[in-house]
Formats: sequence, C-alpha cells, structure tokens
Amino acid sequence: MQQYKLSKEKLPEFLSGIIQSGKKLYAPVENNGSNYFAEVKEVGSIADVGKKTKLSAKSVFFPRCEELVKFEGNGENTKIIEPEAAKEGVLYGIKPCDASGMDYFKDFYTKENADKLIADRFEKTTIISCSCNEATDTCFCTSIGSNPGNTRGSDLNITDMGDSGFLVEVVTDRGASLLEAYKNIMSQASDVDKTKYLAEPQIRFDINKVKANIDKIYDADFWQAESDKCLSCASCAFSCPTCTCFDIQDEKNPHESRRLRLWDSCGFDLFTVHASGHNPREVQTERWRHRILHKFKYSVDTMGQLSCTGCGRCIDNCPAGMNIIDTMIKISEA
Amino acid sequence: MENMYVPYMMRIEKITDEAPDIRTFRLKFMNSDDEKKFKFKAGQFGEYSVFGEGESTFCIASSPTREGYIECTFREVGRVTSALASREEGDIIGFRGPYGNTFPIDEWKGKNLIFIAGGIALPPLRCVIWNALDLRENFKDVSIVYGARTENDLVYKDELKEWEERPDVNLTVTVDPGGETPDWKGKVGFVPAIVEEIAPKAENTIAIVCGPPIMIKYTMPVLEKLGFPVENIYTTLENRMKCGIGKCGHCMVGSNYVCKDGPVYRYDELLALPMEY
Repeated sequence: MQQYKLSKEKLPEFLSGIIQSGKKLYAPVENNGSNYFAEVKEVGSIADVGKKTKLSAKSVFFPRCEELVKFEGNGENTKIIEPEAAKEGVLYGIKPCDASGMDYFKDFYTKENADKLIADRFEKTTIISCSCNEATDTCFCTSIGSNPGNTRGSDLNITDMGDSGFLVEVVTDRGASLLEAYKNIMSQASDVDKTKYLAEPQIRFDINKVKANIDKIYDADFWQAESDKCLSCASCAFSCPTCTCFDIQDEKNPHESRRLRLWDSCGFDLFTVHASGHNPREVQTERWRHRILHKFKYSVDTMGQLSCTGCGRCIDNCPAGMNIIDTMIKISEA
Repeated sequence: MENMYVPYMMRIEKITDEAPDIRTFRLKFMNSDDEKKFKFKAGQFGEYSVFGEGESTFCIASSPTREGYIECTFREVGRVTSALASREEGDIIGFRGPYGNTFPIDEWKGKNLIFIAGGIALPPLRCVIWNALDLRENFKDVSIVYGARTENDLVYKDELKEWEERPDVNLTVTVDPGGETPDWKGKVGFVPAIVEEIAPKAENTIAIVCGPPIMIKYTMPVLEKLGFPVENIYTTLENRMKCGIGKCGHCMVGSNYVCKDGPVYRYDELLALPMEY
C-alpha cells in the first residue's frame, strides 16, 4: 500500500483543489457547538476533524429525506420523474469507525436488490477517513475488533502525526486516482508506521463471548432492565452509521406529488404496527432487543458482518442515558 | 440499474364491493410492454399506490393462470387505502411488484389441499385456490374452510357460491357466533373449532392457513392434533412493509425479511422464527 507525507500547510491546498476541480466536498462543519457533515464551498469552513461528529456521515449517501420519484400531472397524463443522478464528490474527515459503517451500508444497499440512488452516490464518492488521535469515553471500536486507524471503507486514510505532518495512505484505486493530481505537494513515506499516533480506546467487553452467547439470550431477563429507560426517540438510530431503515411517505402538492424516503427506526412503536392494530413488537423491551440483535446477530446471519462500528454515538446522543456497552457486557456475561 | 421505486401505471378495470369497507380492484397495465414482461406466482404481493397519498402492501389476489390483469382486495383503514377506495373504474393507480416468495404449488402435485382462511385473509389464499383449481387435475381433494365475523363480512360472495356448486371442491363457510342471519345455511363457530369438527384427513394433505394471528394461533394446534406434520402446513405472513425488497426493515422477524424471505412460510420455518409477526 502506498503512503505519502503531506505537510500541515499543504492540506488546505489539497482540499481546495478538490473543490476547484468541481467535485462536491463533504466535511464536518460546526453548527451550534456540534459538528455535522455537510457540503463545504471553502476549506476554511471545515471544523476540527479530530472531534467526533454528532451524527454519522450516512446522510451523504442516505439523506434524511429524499425524493424517490416525483409525479407530475394527473390521471393517464401522470408523468413519473426520477431524481437526477448524483455528482462526483469527496467525503473528508470521516472517522475510521464511520467509514467502516459506510462500507456496511454500501454492502447492504448495493449487493442485493441494489438501490439505484444510494449505489450511485457510493459510486461517485471518494472517502477520505481521518484516523483518531484521541478517543472519547464512549468510543469502543477496539471492543468490536476494529481500531482507530482502520481503513475499511476508506479510499484514502489520513493520520495526523503532529509536528511530522500528515500520513496519507492509499487504500483503493479510486483513492490513488484522486491523489494523482496532488503528488507534487506530497513526499513518499513508505517506512512510516502510523500506529504510535493512534488513540487506544479501552476494550470494554469481550466480543467473542458476545458472539458465543448471542443465540441464547433472546429470552434473557436483562432486556427489561436494559430498556426500561428507553423513550423510543430513535436518537440512537438516527445517529448510527449502520442503521439503514426507512419509511416511504407521499407528499401532495397541487401540480406535483413526491414519494419520499425518510429515516425511520425500529425503536418507534409505529414501525411494526399492522393495519389491524396488532403490533408484533408491542413493548420497548422487544424493540431494543431487536435493535441490538440486528447489530450483533441478524446482520451476521444475513451479511456475515456485525452492524455496529463502536462509534458510541448512540450513547452520546441518548437523552435517557442508555448505554449499548452495558448491554454488551450483560450479553458477554450471560 | 433501475430505480426500484418507480411504479407501473395501472388502470382500474373493474371494482367489486365485497363487504363493508372491502373492495376488489381488477388492474390492467397501461403499458403493454410492462404487461408482457410481468410474471408472478401464487403467494406474491405488491405495493399499490395513489400518487401523492402513498403506497400500501397487499397480496396479488388473482391467480397467475388468469393472464392480462391482476387483482387486489383491500380494507379501507388508513390514508392510502381511503385514497384507493375513492378511485373509480378507469382511474390510474401505481403498482410495484411482484415481491416475495411463492407457494410451492408444483411440489403439491398428487396431494389433497385444504385451505383455511379467516376474514380478510381469504384474498392471499384466493390466488393459490384459483391457481390450483385451474390445474385441478394435478391435485386430489380440494377443501376450503373460510370464516368471517358475520355473513356480511364474507368476501368473494359470488366465488363462494361457485365453489359451493363445484363437485370437485369441498367448501365450508362459517361465521362467528352471533354473526349469522336466520337464513344462514353455513356453519356457526370460530375457524379452529370448525376445522376440528370437519377433521380433514392429514394423510397426503397440504394445509394452507391464513388469518389473523389469533386464528393462526388456535388453528395450528388443531392441525397438529389431526396429524398434520409441520412440514405440510403453510401460511403467509402480513407484517407491515414499506419497500417490499428487503431494505426498509419494517417487516423484519429475526434475520428474516418477510417481504423477501417470505411472505410464504412452512410451519416449521415459522416456528424457527421469533414470535414477532
């Protein structure tokens, strides 16, 4: 794998070059004290990439609300209009946990019954992740077998080496071709080891014990206590890089109607309720269990991979103080 | 790659009022190429829509042996079904599908079939009933047990008459106690009790059961008591769905997406799933 050194002074040149080349640049931007991914028009508006963004970067590929199709006219003159194709873009400043989450997301939405809109965005977006020099107390990527310098899902990975500048690692051909135009501002750095610059989040639970127990805890007593506090607000799902669920709703206007896809969550009681009123997951305990089992069992059954990246945002954003790590400890000790 | 959310445009060719708030639409493809390419099998479903109001999930209630149209039967309960119910013959609606797996009707050749349905759950079985009746020589005895709350709530009243008159179909229709009128000639009682009473023989027989969860819950033990092996009992689940293609997550039961891995389940497959349906 090729790697290069980029001086701190030259990073803005690299990023502004991307904007000037006509690609969309998505990066963390500060809003009301928190960072969120958004399109940036100038490099100066990019926030500190060392800080975990409030929400994951999934909105770049899976907007909170998007049009699936539009209907113009009425009756037999109804015209069905499809959304425009995505533009070429670069997603910069995503954490390695988030980038691996985007890789799960891509697998889920492009391998079987591929979703044209989401696949198109993945096809056209180069992902530059930034390794973590520091972890927060809710980070647990190392507990699920990942690490703060993981390159899964990245095309390029950048590690901040302090006074020594940045290490730019080429992960994919797409990453290499983006870098091609900027090689003149970088130098070869083949012998540099980034490990010593990385954060070392504590291992919080034994993932092998979780995997060993996951088939036998469906009826365990701890689900009730673990979910008693849940308010069913879906903050966890909306901030999660691997929560893929959505709703479809129509919006009616006088001259055109839109069919929209909106983020949804298995934490909501209405998510599963039948037209008859019967609800297969009647209480919050069942909904929390479904969420956890989807991350640690069902996605393993269906896709051969966990769908938790250890980013800890569900803990950061829970208004009731729920903590997935506590549930994982319970499962590992079951 | 196609945008899987683009619906077919369908014209409502015929509307039949079945029971209070329950209607059947016969739909024809607006585009003849779409019609030619469209193939489905018994058990599959689709997303029916009114543009600007939304999509609703119903089975395809007509048989794949009847070509040139599809039918759906639905109860008016919410925003989309109310909008659908206000459409008239000749109007245009949307349809996506067919989705989901199918009843393995080819594997049932040479066997007896018993269909057991409750209420608005006859439509998903009507598709496979007509499919079997149109290939009648492939099967031995064909029995149908159908129950609804009241006489008025029975759907497909004309077809019930037709099945009743056919010598090659054993039809039993029942209504819940209190749901009968003085002229009622059918049975009175809940579906599980009626199944127990008529006691279909289990040997070489496939049972296809569809109904509200409470009916399924009490009918399965009756069938097991009559000697039906779990591998010979089929049902179709109707979890809430949005996308129909295994993405939106609404219909998940354990690792299963009912829309993609179902909606048709053999009873032993159903027993292996968490009770989240």
